[in-house]
Amino acid sequence: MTSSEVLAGRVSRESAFSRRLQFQRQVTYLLLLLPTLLMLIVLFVYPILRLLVTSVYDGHQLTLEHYRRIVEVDLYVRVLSTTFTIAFQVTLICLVLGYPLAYFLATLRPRTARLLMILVLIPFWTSILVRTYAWMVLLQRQGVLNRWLLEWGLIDEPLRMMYNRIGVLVGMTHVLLPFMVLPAYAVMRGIDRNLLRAAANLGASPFHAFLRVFLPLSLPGVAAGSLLVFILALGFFITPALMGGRTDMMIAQLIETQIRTQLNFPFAAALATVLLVVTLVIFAIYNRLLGLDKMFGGGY
Amino acid sequence: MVTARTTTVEQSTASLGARLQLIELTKVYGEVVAADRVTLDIAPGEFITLLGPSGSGKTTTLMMVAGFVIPTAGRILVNGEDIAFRPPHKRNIGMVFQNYALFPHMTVAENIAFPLKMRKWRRDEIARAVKEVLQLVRLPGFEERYPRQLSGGQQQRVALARALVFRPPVLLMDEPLGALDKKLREEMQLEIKHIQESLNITTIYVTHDQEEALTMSDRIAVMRDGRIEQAGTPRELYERPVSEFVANFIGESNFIVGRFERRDGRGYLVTDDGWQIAIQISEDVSPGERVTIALRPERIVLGEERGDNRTLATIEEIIYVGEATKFRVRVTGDRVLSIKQPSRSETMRFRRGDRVPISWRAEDAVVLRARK
Repeated sequence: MTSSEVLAGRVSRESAFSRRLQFQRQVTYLLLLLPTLLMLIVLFVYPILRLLVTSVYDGHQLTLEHYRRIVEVDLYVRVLSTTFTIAFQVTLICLVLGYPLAYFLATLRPRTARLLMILVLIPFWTSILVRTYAWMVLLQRQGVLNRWLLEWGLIDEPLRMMYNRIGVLVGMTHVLLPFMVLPAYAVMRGIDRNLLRAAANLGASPFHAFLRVFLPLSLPGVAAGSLLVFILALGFFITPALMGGRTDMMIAQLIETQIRTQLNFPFAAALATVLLVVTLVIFAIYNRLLGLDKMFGGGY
Repeated sequence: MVTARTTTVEQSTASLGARLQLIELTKVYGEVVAADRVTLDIAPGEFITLLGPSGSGKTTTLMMVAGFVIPTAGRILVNGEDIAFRPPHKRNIGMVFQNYALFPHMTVAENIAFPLKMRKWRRDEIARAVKEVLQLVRLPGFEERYPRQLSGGQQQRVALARALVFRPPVLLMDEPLGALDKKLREEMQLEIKHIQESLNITTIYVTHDQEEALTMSDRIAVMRDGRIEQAGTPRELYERPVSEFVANFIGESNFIVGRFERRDGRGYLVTDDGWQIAIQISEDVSPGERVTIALRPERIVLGEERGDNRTLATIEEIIYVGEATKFRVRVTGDRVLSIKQPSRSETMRFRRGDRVPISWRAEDAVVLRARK
């Protein structure tokens, strides 16, 4: 054998070996993912796809009937607009409450901030059903809040704080606030404190330093938080169902009614598709403007 | 607008550097004295460097002048006016931060215009000033770039431009070249120095790099444990260090301990094992007192006997560092001395183990202040 033949033989053996290694690695990956993949496909993806198909296919032909109904019937248009309005209002309230909170946490020493962050996270980890019932106890007609207000003579008769928009907003804000605070906090933590010093050194008052430097740099976090809150609010069910007014229905409730009481699966599927598409569109816009990869900090 | 014009004129006359006095400036954090009665009188247009290891108080001192650290005691006078308790944004002092602290969401032009906007300059004046200062730091045409699109050296220049554009009477620089590689650092040292001289701006520069301090400064204040150990021109510090710390921090030194003696109008250091070294007579020390002398490695001549002090030494180590060669030699009483010689053929002929004469003049050794 010449030396080049020896070399060629070694190269082919080597590449065969590395191919086998790579194959083994791929098999391993597949085995690791298989249980979850199987479960998702069988129990989730396939049924969902079937359901979505029923929204445009009545067994014989393609139809947009169900979608036409959504935009033509006043009730359904109102549900859509209520959904967006509530989602928007909740986002706004979360922003107003969450920004100062995140700012406060971001200015603390990391250790203290982590401790206080637990206070934000405990409700985050508590069941949403428990929290909603807790709010009902507080806000109902004979609830804790009304009793206090009456006792102190601040009001003459109980306020209606439930089964209307107020109840929904309070309940949803409470559940969704952490989704605003966490990304906002993460981005604010990442802002170099020297930038604020530089601003002060260059003649900016604390207010101007905040307005011109901190605020713009914190916007990616605020945008991420707002996006999360808005999207989660769009599909909210438990809180509006338990605390909302009869006329203040959101899209998730409508879907539930269609399935449980009307047994109108195709129409429910059409509504669900609308919700899904709107959510994806918002994500796409966000990705275009800010980039989803920057959602949790590392903006610049 | 008349007011804006007046501001400009005031600014440009103020660009003549201010006299800056730090008087007994002290900062205490709990038990730690970060700055201990730091006193410096800095002349208008002077370039002074605070030099010291980390934790020596140089940055704390700088931060007090900038207004980010509130002094526990002491005064900071700019042209006689005490600014020690004025908020940073009302001090009108330029500063270049260690990591540049450029605003990442603003272009180069916006970064530089920032201090002018805060001072409510007119838009056309801002545009002109930005253009001028970019010329000064040799970055014309970079207006629309973002900081992340610039190299480290370019960011450094932008930071400098931003600190200078509003013509502050005092400029502070906190290890501004730390992040740059050696070659670029040396270039920037000279460039910053030239700009500083041309604007005649009073400058405090903080670094732990002694070479940088020697290259750039009119005067250096060596700091240690929150105190100024010695302040003087680079030459004074190098040639006449007052303590072992200074003699070691700026350049290298050999230290020899002994008793001071005077005989026949000449001074001697006599070591405990009886080695007599001729030194200059110092009025600060009296005969019999224990003193330390510092002797620079390059002042010792290897292989020649032409100084006041001569002895034989055994070469233990030879380190070739390019323009110079360092020797470690053993002399009387198992003392090890460092010697540094220019790399010439005469010095290159020595080999390890060689026994060679070494010599130095009496005035080459510096008598240090007795240690507390």
